[in-house]
Amino acid sequence: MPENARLQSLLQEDEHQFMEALFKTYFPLVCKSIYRLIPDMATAEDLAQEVFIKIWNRRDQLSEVYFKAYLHRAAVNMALDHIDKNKRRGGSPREVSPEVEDLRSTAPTVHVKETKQRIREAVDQLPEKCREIFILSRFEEMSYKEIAQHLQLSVKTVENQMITALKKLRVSLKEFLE
Amino acid sequence: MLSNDHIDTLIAREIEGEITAEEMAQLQSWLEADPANQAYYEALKDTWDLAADAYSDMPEPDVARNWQRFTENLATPVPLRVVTRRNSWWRLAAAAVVIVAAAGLAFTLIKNNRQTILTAEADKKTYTLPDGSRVFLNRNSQLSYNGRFGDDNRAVQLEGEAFFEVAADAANPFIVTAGASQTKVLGTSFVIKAYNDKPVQLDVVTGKVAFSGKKGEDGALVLTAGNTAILQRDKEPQQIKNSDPNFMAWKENRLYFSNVPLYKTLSAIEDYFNIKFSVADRSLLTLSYTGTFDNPSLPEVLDVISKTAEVKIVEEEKDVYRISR
Repeated sequence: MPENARLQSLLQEDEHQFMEALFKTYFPLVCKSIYRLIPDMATAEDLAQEVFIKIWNRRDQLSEVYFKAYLHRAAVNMALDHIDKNKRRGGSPREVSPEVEDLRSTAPTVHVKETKQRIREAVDQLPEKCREIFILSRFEEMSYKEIAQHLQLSVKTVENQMITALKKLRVSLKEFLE
Repeated sequence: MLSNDHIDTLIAREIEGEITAEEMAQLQSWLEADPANQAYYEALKDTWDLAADAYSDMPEPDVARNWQRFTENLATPVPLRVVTRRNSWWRLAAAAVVIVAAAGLAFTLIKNNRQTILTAEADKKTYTLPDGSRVFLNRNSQLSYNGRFGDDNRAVQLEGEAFFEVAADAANPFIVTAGASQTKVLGTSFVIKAYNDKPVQLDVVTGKVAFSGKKGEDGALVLTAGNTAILQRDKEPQQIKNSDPNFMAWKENRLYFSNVPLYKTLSAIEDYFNIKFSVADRSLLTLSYTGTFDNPSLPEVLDVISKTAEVKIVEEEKDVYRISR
């Protein structure tokens, strides 16, 4: 049975089993989507927990839902809300990226790992709004229109910010692009 | 000649995949016009492709550990089924919230030796319960509990409004019954508003609570700090947005208004001082108002508002104030 149909029928039969299946299937997806916007695993896990608590509280209204898309959207909203709240509180808008792990210990893959790490650092260092827009487009598969609605910006601004992001990344990742 | 901005827009749209045929043709002819254009386009496309790997090495969340945490937080019957000894189940759910299973049971057992705390029309009261939990009762409210409170139960019954600061005791959940609602916690703080026939409202200030109606655990909502739910008559609890920053004004003795329409300001003042306003000119109600009052007195508040909003406030009859230009 396709995943969504299986979850829907579980929801009708036994909501606890449904919740466990939903959680175990999609927790990584939710957590990772949040983590890309808020690169701190502890915060991402806390927020992902909140996403599932909300789902549980709404379990009687889920009969028409396509879970994967629904959870993905809930994760993005949760992360953006969190960023917003932090900004209003005047707290640091973005957590510092985790320490670079000791790359030398994994000798054969050092180069690939290092490259990925450098790409990530480059993305993490984009200006805040620019980074949010880039992440939503590149990794969360949202259209410019959807991003514009979420962030209350014009589509034009989103398009401009996307190009700005690509130009900045092109400069900081120059060595990998020759 | 196409502007650079326009070309950038076309490239952005092409990357998104939402480019029209006409735009695509424009982009195509621009690319063919000059090898430098082609190189510019490819550099951006390559950057886009390269960025795909940015998070491919991100840490994997530990799903099993998170599931464990989720079930502990909810304290759904899932862990109940696997753990048979009741005592250890409570310990498992320590620091979490537990959902009411046998609604009403605690109250039908004991009727004698009940303690009742009452507040009158113009009265608020702070009270410490035998377990160390603190209760701030708003006006016209009543809280009661039985003689064995703190020994084998921590159940209280509320009519009206109260703020609870619940002392932590993982072995003995604190249960508030108000109207048709039950709120069950282990150690947290929250406000319950349950006046007469109005919907019961719960605002969680710290920690987590489980809020249930007639259906008990089946309809329970788990609410975390900063969240609000209401229970309407004959319904199950529902989470709502509480946009009222003054929901604790009665306890904190602080009124806070940040660029809100005057009608919201007035209604918070009505609640706080237990008075009524009448407004002749409805256009006054949408004036926006900003201000903060600590330990406010009514004459002071009325004076400040009349000066800053440039309105006249006159006491028409006892506790009824008329506002005009």
